[in-house]
Amino acid sequence: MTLAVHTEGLSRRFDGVTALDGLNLAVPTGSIFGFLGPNGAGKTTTIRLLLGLLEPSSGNAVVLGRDVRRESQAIREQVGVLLDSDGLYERLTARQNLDFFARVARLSKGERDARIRALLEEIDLWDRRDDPVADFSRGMKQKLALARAFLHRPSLLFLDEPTAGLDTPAAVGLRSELVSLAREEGVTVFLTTHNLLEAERVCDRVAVIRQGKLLAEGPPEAIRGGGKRKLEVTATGIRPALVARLMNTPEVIGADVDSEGRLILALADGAETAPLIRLMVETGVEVSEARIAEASLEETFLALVDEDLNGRSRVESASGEHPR
Amino acid sequence: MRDIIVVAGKELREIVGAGGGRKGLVRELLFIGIFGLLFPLTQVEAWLSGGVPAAFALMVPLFLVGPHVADSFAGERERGTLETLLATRLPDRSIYFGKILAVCGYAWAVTLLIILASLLALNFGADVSGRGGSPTAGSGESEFFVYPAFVWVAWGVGSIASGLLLASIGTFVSLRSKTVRGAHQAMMIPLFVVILGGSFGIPALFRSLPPSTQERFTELLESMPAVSVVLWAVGGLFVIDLVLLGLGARLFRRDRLISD
Repeated sequence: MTLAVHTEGLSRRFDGVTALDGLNLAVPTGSIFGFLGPNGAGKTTTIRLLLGLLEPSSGNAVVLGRDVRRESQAIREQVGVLLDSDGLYERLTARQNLDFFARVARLSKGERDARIRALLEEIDLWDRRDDPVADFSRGMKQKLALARAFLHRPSLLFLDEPTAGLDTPAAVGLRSELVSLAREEGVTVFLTTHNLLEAERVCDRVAVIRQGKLLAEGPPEAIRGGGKRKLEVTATGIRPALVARLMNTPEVIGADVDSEGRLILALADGAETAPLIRLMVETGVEVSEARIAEASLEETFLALVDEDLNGRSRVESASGEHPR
Repeated sequence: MRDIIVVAGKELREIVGAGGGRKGLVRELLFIGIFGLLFPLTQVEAWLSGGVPAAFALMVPLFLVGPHVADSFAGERERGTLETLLATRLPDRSIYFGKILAVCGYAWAVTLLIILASLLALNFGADVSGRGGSPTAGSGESEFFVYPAFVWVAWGVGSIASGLLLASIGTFVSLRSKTVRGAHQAMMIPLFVVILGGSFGIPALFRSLPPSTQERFTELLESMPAVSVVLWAVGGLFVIDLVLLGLGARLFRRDRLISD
């Protein structure tokens, strides 16, 4: 397995503040990698370090087989970026924007014209190619910025919140485009997102960071597996005494009642649910529905961040391998 | 060099279209109208002698370069385009020199248009026959007045030197300003220093010299052709420009811009 991005102990400090602390990442070539974390977690700093826009304080990073300290220009030649701001020149037209970046990428005249036309047609902006970008809606700007990132057919894409500002059909279209780029053309996509459902849908692997530290890394289903299963029970006749009895069973590690009045039981690893239902029925509870739910990536993410907040760092690789 | 030209081309498009497409040209036309038509027609004698157009060729670029160089980096930072630009394969120096080339090229071209407009104004809007003792083209009654050589030297290289002076100082200001407004405000200081220094500082320095030195210096200047005087002055400016540009190029680094 070749790696598009590989970091070892990557750290960056600003005036005594540690923005990134010993990050170990391994992003396989041709995969879609989701980089998740709350605001200020160190996601942007990581991307800047990988692009060679910042010097690491310590540690190493290799992007597309090149060292970020010594070969950052060669790295930037091969990557496409969409950062937190769209980075478009508002006084220039859509075509002038793409033309500038195509010239920067040293595409030939014929290649430039063909590629710009194809991309503008694909994002439905060909008819507005000569309008200043300042006149565009946020969604149109986001689509144009994405077209700019794809312009020179990069082998690695860094996308910061790529679907922000897009309407639902455009967001769905982009997600499918990302999957096809990765699967059919072998492009590696490194994306940050706050949309955990999006990460769950498109990412092959995800990493969760907080305060510059890696909390978990691996395939989304494996990360989710790190979260506990739960039993959601809709019933009448549940008394506090019953909840206390349930809590005393080895199968249950926590209990709560949600806003809809359902009893939520957090289950121990490998716990059977039949004894719990039987206990409820035997004590006179009328159970109308009982279902086992797996923690979503969002819940797992929140749990990871919460654990870290409470000083119980759980740096682990959900795929079973500890990051080096 | 190719990368520098690519950056300069983008900058020029932004500068000329800054007011929004064709509206952007209104500012340039206004500038040309005031400096190239109104002033020559109201001060014919001063313009015919060549002194005023030569001085304008050195001064006008300062006013043209100032606002655009202030915007060069601070504007990109404020509008959120700087980081995307830095994330391209462009080398640091191509970005730095591309921006300087654009503002200086723009100032040089507008200054040329002012000089040409002033010639048209003088020839078609004022009676210049037999006045000014300037070289002429053509013959007989259809003589066309053209400026003496030192005016063209002042425009050809002098305007570049003065534009570069303010551009190199202005990039320091722009690189350190977080907003365009801050950069514009900060740019007023070097602009005043250069203009007041040139207008009052140099004469004051001259007057502070011992009378015998002043006399020898005056004799030297009078013994030299005007073109040589302009070339020496411009040469001195270029030396200062080179030092400032070298310093700027050394200080312009991606990681510093981002971490700032």
